[in-house]
Amino acid sequence: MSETPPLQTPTVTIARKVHFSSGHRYFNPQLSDDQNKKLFGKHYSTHGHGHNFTLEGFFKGPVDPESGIVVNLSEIDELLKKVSDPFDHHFINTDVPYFKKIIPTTENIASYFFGVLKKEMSHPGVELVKIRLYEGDSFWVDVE
Amino acid sequence: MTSLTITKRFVLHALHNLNNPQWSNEKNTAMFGKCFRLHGHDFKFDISIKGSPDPTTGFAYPPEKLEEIINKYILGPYCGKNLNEYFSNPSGEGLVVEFYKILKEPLGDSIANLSLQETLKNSFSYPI
Repeated sequence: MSETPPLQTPTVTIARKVHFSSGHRYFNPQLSDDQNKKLFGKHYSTHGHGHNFTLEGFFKGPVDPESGIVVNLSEIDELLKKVSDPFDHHFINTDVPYFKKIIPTTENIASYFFGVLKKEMSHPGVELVKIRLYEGDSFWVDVE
Repeated sequence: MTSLTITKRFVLHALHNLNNPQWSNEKNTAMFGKCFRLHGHDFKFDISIKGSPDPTTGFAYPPEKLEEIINKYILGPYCGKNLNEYFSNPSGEGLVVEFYKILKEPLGDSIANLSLQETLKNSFSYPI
């Protein structure tokens, strides 16, 4: 008698969002005020500005045959909250150590989140494949 | 190797209708239904650009330059206009391809994709 072949486990990507609100300023600390004014043009300001951000993580993994899910969403929520909390209702340039020397444009924040989430996602078999960071409704950055 | 893509959304308010000028009104109505009548949309344009953050500015593409391009090439010429007067195929499918070609000129290979949302229920994407 031949053995029963193992059940095929489909691989699925799940997406989950977290919202946070932050202030940031386009300012290169290695340049003078005048150079920054010239560099950032109308985007230069002395105080910076704020946004409602949404961070969306895309996680790929096999559907567990017993639970029927890839990973519990509460586990994802906890992870997304952990990485975004230091930004929520904070001024990124001064309050997030990584951005004391790096300009916290949405591009740089997105790259940072991708790196941190990739490292922090520890659920066996589940991998962060992409993140999307929305700055308001009309601009977003994908990192994959 | 990671890759980064920025997407900027802007809105074009414009008119169009779907029709084949070779066909009779009856045939156009049968094919296109209410879309045969002249009507308008708040077309949402999502321009995607691939790149990496510039070490000096942190931007993957200079936002002011992108706004200038959008104003010069899309909003200036087409906002508030009847698109049928400019394009032989003013359907969402036709427009997304034509607008991509228009933006390709100033953006070159930087442009990765254009997505055009006609209503909350339908959108068109080119070339991805």
